[in-house]
Amino acid sequence: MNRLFRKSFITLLALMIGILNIQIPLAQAAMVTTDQVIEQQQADNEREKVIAFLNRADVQQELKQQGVSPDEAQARVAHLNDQELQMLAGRIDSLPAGGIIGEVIGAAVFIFVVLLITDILGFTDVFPFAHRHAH
Amino acid sequence: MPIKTGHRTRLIAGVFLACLLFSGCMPKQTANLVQEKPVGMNSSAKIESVPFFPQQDFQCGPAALAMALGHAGVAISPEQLRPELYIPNKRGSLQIEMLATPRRYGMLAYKLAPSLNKLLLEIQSGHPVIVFQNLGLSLTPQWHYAVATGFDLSHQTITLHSGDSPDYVMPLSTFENTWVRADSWAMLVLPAGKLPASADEKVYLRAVSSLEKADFHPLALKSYVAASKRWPDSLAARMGLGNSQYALGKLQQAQQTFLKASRDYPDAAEAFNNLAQTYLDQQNYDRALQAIQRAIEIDSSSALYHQTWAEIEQQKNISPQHHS
Repeated sequence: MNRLFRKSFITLLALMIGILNIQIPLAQAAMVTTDQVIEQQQADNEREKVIAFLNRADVQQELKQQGVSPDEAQARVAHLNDQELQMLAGRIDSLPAGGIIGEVIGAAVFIFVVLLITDILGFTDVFPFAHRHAH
Repeated sequence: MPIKTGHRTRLIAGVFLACLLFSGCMPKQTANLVQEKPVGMNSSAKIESVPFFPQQDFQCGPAALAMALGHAGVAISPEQLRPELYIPNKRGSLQIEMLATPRRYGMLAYKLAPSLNKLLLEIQSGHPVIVFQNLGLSLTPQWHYAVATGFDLSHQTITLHSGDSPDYVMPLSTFENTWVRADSWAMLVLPAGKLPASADEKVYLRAVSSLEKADFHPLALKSYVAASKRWPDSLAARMGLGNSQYALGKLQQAQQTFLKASRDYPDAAEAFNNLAQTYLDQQNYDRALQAIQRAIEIDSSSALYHQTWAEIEQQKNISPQHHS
């Protein structure tokens, strides 16, 4: 339902921008962008713009929900390009985020032992003391 | 009952361990590298000039990026990068933002192909590599960023700036295990004009075009020049070069670039369109019309080419020379 609404919303907005564009006298340069040459396709610009706009709002909201301050969230999405926004929208919650400092926080003893064994075997690298070569 | 549960736990643990032991000691890529050193690869390499920043709580993303940026020529601390990368509730940083952030500083972020071989060759070429690792197991992931700065095939080790340890030496096989569990993700931070050792044309040009779209035109131009030298047959590299020259107002140069591209690629409508627009900006209406007519001949379905054509006609008609 949400998707359907979003789809028709995008089409409607794209149409509106399209109509507006026709009424505005043509002034800006009509260059094929490097991006379009690389991807070998001339995208439906209006549609893409709207999708990017919605994705930007989505990602900004998700960042705020994940504890990023509103100002920082806004600055961060401003620096993401359309493809990056597309990859992040709706997925921040499930994507892996690198951040550990080398200790298992709140892990059960069983997992501790397993990880210690796998560390010694060289499958994992959670405990630096498991390797003699480590400083 | 308690004995039964104990048995079962021991059984599970035993089976688990047996699985681990029988799955072989050395992962595939390390085994291949050790068995036969690839042509052109030295037995060891070390980049000495990579700055080290110890990681503060969950800040391995900012720390790793600060080290790579520092080596590429941007002096910045992990603390300064924190607001651009860190996500408090996830206690970490996302790969996509790791790739997006160097751009803010006019640097190119290049995502490497998932190959240990290529990773080591980058180190050998003097490019420190930011690597993503899952230090734990798939069920209990421990996501981590580090910077690979050296390797030694005779000792089968790799050297990383990681966590609290500068020059942390770990077995290459363990590294491969942790790295493959994070989808073999790795990236480089490069100054404009520098190419990765194992550059893929499309991946590199995408990175440059991101820089171009972020309005770093002189830097994008420098990188497109390097790209056209590395891939002389690349139409995209030349179009990028022309577009950057155009964006910088160097219309003569842009015209030359597009003209040459349109001659070398007589079926590239894009080159003719951009050539037409560049002629139009110099009020050379006749040449502009010629070029855009050729673009429309090649591809009559493009709305953009018709728009360029309409603009040329419009401006030609209002220009004084053509009224008299």
